[in-house]
Amino acid sequence: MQGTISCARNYNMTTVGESLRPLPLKTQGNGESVRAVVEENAVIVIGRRGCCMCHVVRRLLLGLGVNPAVLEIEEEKEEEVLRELERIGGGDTVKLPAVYVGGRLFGGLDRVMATHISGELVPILKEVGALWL
Amino acid sequence: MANHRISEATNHNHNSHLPYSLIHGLNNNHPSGFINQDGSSSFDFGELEEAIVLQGVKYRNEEAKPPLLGGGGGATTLEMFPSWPIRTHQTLPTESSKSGGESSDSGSANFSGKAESQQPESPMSSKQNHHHLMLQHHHHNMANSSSTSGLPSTSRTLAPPKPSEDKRKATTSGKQLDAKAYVQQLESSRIKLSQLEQELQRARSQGLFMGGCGPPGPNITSGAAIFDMEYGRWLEDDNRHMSEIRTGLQAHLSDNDLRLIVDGYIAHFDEIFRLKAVAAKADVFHLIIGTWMSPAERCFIWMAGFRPSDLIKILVSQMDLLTEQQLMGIYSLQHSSQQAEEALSQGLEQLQQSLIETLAASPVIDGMQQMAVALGKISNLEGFIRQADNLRQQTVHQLRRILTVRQAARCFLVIGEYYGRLRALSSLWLSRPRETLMSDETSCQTTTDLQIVQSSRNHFSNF
Repeated sequence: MQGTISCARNYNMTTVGESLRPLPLKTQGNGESVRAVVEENAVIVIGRRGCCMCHVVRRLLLGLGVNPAVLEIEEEKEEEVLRELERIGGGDTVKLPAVYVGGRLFGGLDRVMATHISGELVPILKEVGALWL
Repeated sequence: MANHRISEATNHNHNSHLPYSLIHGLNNNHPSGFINQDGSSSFDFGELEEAIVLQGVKYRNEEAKPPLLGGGGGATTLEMFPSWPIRTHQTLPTESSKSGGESSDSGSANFSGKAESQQPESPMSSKQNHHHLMLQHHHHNMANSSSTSGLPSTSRTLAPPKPSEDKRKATTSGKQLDAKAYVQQLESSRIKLSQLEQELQRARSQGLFMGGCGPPGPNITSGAAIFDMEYGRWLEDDNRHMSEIRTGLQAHLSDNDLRLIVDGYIAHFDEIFRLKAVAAKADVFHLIIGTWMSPAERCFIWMAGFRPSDLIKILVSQMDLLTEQQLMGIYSLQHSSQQAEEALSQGLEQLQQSLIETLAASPVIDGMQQMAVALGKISNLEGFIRQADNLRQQTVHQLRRILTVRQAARCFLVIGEYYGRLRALSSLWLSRPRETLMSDETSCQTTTDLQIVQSSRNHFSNF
């Protein structure tokens, strides 16, 4: 798992390549692994497996030059993961797909779109080291 | 003339005899319902109207004769308005011999006159009589005339009315005022009705409601119908906002005043996105297919609406007045909206791919499970449309942020007029002369097109 995560980090240094699809992370569904995954990635997209919105978010971030880590959750594990995410976030309900930037909940596709259009997204991504110039 | 107005008010071209008094009496007491045998006078106006029509027909059809059941019956009904002055009632015989006569004052007057010839009664009982007479008259008409409608006839019969006298002056002014008020009400309703019809006609011809593709299919859902109607209203609002902005710019309003107008227009945009969110929940396919749009708009439809990046393309001509920073902002907005569009489109493609995989495979367990999975995937469409609308909304807001108030007003005017012209283009296209399609020459089409353009100048906004 360590290797996977550091691979995700390394991806950030490469240019946007559609062929370089990030390896979807698997989680055991227990609190620790979810927390670890969220904290260790500058940008991570968490969503259900096969979710199209997840795909949209990923595409958008890829277009910016960010190769986000992706956590695909199996249906059975969804409950647990959501609970854990809510614990991390301090109790606010989390809706999937959820984007975590710099270890903190950023929002869903709504927020990503809005900040992207308003031009706020790129500076935020740079701040957390997900983007270099 | 009062009687003339009456016949207009009831929208019956062929009914020239509808008396003031009739309507007055009806309105005076009870709006609807049937008259009971015990005399409580509630009225069914619809039936009354039909009966009146028939009565008018009967008048025309019959020879002049002393007031009969039918003719006199009608007269008796008018009895309830003893206040109404009689014009001339002797001309009724000649009147009734006319065929298909238009509204004629004397005829109506005679009608009233005859009615008032009866002994004075309270409006209540007059109405009661009237109703019975009408029904009876109708009963007769069913047997006699060709233009019968499905009115139920009562078994109650009435004595033939006495010959009309020709007195009757206004007794109480109150009744007159009531009558006038009622007639005015009728008239205003009639005007409203014809206005609505005109609006509908206009909207239809502009292809707004039906999208220029004819009446909606038999399977239109209520959510879709509601949205179509609200979109029509939104378009009218849009025109209003456009002219507000236009006059605001021409009048060189202060920035504060202009800001109010511009913010109002932004709220107007927010409104359509809210409406679409509701409609997406109700009937997402209706939004996606886009029959609510004009054909030309629909041609370039993207995710149930316009492409956000198109807004910037439309504004290209207005870009010369921007500062360096603003220009950068606009181009960056165009770039990011294009990126977002791309991401959404790819997401939709993936959805379609996934749906293909679900439906094309032979069902592993059973067909219903396959369908259930497919249904789940289709349910994502609402999310896509919502995100697309969100993108449109964000683009509009960002435009507002980049530009000054005056610039924003100009830009929204340009955008609004563009779409107005696109819609006009749709209706022009739909109404183009088809005969010229046979020829290969485009030139012979040109003259007719020019004529159409000339005559449709009102479609285009004037600067």
